[in-house]
Amino acid sequence: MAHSEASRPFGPETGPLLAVDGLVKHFSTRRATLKAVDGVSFTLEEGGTLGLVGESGCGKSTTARLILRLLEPTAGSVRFRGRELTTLPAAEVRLLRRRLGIVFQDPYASLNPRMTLRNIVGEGLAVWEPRSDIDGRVAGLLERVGLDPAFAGRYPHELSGGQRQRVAIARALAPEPSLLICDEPVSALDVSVQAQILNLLADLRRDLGLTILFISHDLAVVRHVCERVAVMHLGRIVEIGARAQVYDNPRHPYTAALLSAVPVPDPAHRHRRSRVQLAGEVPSPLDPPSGCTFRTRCPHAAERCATEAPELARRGADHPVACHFAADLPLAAQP
Amino acid sequence: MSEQGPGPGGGMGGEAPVGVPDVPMGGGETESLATATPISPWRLALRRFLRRKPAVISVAILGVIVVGATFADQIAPFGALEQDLDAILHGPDGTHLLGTDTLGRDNLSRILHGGRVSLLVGITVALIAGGVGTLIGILAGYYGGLIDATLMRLTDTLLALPGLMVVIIAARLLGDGTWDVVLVLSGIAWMTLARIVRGKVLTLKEREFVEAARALGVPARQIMRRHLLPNLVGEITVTVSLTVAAAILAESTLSFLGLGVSATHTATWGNMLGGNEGFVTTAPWLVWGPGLAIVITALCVNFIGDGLRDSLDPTQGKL
Amino acid sequence: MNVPDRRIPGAAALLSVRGLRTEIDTENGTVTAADGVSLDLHGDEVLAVVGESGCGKTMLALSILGLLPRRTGRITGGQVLFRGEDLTQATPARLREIRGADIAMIFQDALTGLHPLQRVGDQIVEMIRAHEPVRRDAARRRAVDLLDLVGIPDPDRRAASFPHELSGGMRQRVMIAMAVALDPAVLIADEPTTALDVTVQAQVLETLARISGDLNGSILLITHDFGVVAGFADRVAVMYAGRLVEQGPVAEVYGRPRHPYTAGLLASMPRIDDIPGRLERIAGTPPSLISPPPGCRFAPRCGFATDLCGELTPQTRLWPADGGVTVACHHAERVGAG
Repeated sequence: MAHSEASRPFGPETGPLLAVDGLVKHFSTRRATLKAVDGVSFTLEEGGTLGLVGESGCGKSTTARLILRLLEPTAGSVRFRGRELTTLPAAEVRLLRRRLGIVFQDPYASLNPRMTLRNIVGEGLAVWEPRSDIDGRVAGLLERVGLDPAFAGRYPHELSGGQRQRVAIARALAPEPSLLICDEPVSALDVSVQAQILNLLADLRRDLGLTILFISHDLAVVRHVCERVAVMHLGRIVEIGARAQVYDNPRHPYTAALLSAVPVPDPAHRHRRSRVQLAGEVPSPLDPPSGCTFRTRCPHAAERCATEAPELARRGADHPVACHFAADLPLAAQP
Repeated sequence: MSEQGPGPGGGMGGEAPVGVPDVPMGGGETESLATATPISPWRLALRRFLRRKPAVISVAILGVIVVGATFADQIAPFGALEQDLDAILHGPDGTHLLGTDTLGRDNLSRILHGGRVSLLVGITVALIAGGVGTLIGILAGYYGGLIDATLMRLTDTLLALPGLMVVIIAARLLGDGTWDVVLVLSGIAWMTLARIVRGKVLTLKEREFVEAARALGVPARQIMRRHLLPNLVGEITVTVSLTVAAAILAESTLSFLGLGVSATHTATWGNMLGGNEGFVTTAPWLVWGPGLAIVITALCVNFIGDGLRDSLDPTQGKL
Repeated sequence: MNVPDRRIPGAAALLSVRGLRTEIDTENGTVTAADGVSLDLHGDEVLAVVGESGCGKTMLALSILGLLPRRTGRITGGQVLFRGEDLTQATPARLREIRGADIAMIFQDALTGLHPLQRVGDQIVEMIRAHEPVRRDAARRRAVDLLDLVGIPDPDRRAASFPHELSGGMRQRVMIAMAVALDPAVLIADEPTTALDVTVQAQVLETLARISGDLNGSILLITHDFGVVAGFADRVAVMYAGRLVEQGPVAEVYGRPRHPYTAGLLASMPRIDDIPGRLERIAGTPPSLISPPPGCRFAPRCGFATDLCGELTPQTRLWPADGGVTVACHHAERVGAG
């Protein structure tokens, strides 16, 4: 329903491009329920960049797949330009995906080894605009991501990791999406190549006006890319705010701990930084602690934390935090 | 983090040497590649296959057998049913290179003619089972649900029954023509492949390139054709080639038991063995001839299957 | 880093790698994973070998312990001197004796280093008893003490766990306990925290640092992470395409990199402590180690490269004479200046 997309009968012209509200995904097995995503809410303005950051198993990648409906959400709402996605029939989901691009983590797994770059990058075009000059546009896209258009006849196994990730980006851009979801796009890349890809994303954003949802475990990378940052812990967002707020003035103890754990490539920092050492282990999402899921590792945990799960402060606050003591805690600013 | 994928570069081998000046972005920066011409994964597979000696030798031997069987009319010194009443149960000699049977028929000629039926049965069964098994396996794996449940129950049931018994009963119900045998064997053989394909599809559809295609809005049928099928070729080829061998053996077993292709009109390796089993000690050439033909053919097909398995696996790095 | 004689290469090193050359056969050809690598690990220090994937750092570690893949890997030149003994000439029996007792290794993936079907306590007990004639219950007590030492809570009960019952961080701690069980002089840690989450990584590094301090052992840390190196190592050796390009005290190398590769890498890292407008970056990708470029291997990606770099392999030299840093670059003076 591309035409209804253009006229946007369902939504207002203003308002966020993407609004996620109370998103839940539970995976049930016979023995247990895994609460992979457990009530995630955020909004992303057109042209903005939001970083979703957290450790493995916190549900950030699942959130990306729920937004695209590569997975079916258990509950909650995802609105794209005001249109509710979670209740769309399957046929319309497919039409909508044209407006949402995704780049995955592992450039070795995300390209079909049996297809040429032309077919990989051109596939989205062939689906949506079969009559367009696909070869010409593939060449343009390859050039756009910094690859020689003569590569079009090549296969993925002939490329390096960084080159493959460029192809994956070109593929996502082909149908001209308004939202690009990047799921750990540089985690599998070496440092020197990582910088190339981050710079490419910055250029694309500037030139194409892309809105980016950037998912990563790497706080340094997120700080570099994103204007707004949401920190996830065991299926929930514990803190969300502008980059400067979250990094310079973290209000959730988990954010503070994460920030202080990131190694800084500067030996002089070794003694200057105040370390927030976390005790204990990351709890299993199959058996999360009662109340606040972070309390078992939190240096500030009190009785109330075990009985009452803190809510992420209501919408409207510009720096909501899901902690009972957010207002009182003396957390070290970083670094 | 445990979410991290394999390190970039994979092996140390194939990174492309790049000699580009550091130009600021804006379309100007491009990178070059190591080789001048593209090498498709299929070409790589062929190269790897050619390095596997047992498989290559098997192709040559099997080629000789196939040519011999196909052109039996031209090559064989005698007809399959042609009798030489002066030479009944003769051992190998100048006229009858592999001797004659109780009716004075030339053993070598019968092996060549019989190979035609055996190979025809083997190849046809494999192709039918390959087509049906692939289709059902992909659908079951990709969609899951009812079609998957039905497939799994059906195959579970059949796997629980002794296969030979099922084939024997089915063969009794049907006739004794070549095509009856093909039908019976195909009816059993497709299930193995369907299960293998289903299993592989279950893992493939979780792979990121399939997710990426779904995220692009690629229709399901196209995902199956362009993303799943080409990546199943390894499994399919291997299983189908092994099915050829299994079907040849099964046909021989049925014919040996007198339930396969009727010996009255058509010679097959199986019914030759069955008809001559009483002569193992007195006229061993009658048993050794078709027996060796079966064993060599099955061995060759299995070697080729193994070679294909190794060379078609795209995870096996670059060349 | 105030012991002066450390700055003289080869002086009284505990472990000294001299001109090591290691080759690995692959389906695509023979890879020269280490090409003339020389480094010295002194007593009571942490030396980090840092480089990107495929640069040969893991093969270097495996070469030291004689753990190269048997049929495809071999050392074709150089020496590995441990307390003066050349390990490249040692018999397999002698190497087994040294491994664990004198030089221990921690791998990236603890699951590959632990037997999946044996309780972790028993694995440590066996490890101890393989090298020392102690009774089972004495070894058992030591195993529990070791688990306690590496910060595993409730070590008595945890000793009875199977590896899969432990989290990634716990498993890595068990690996560390096992590695230090026999009080080795040298601990080789190959990407010990790469598979771990950042908060757990911090805990494990802390443990490793504390233990190496307690036991007066030396650590050879193999890593890709410049951040980990800065927080943990005394000296750093930067490896690129099978060769060491720069080696010296961490503060010196980070403060004033002399090799363009080191400088480029440091500048290309997004950092938690500042927001650069745009990352500096190194163009292109590392070369194939089957047919590396002639001369300096970094030359094709280097902004400082001249014709000379493509023709002549730069010698490793001290520059400046008093910085304690060795560098293999024709233009180190220009790089170090800017």
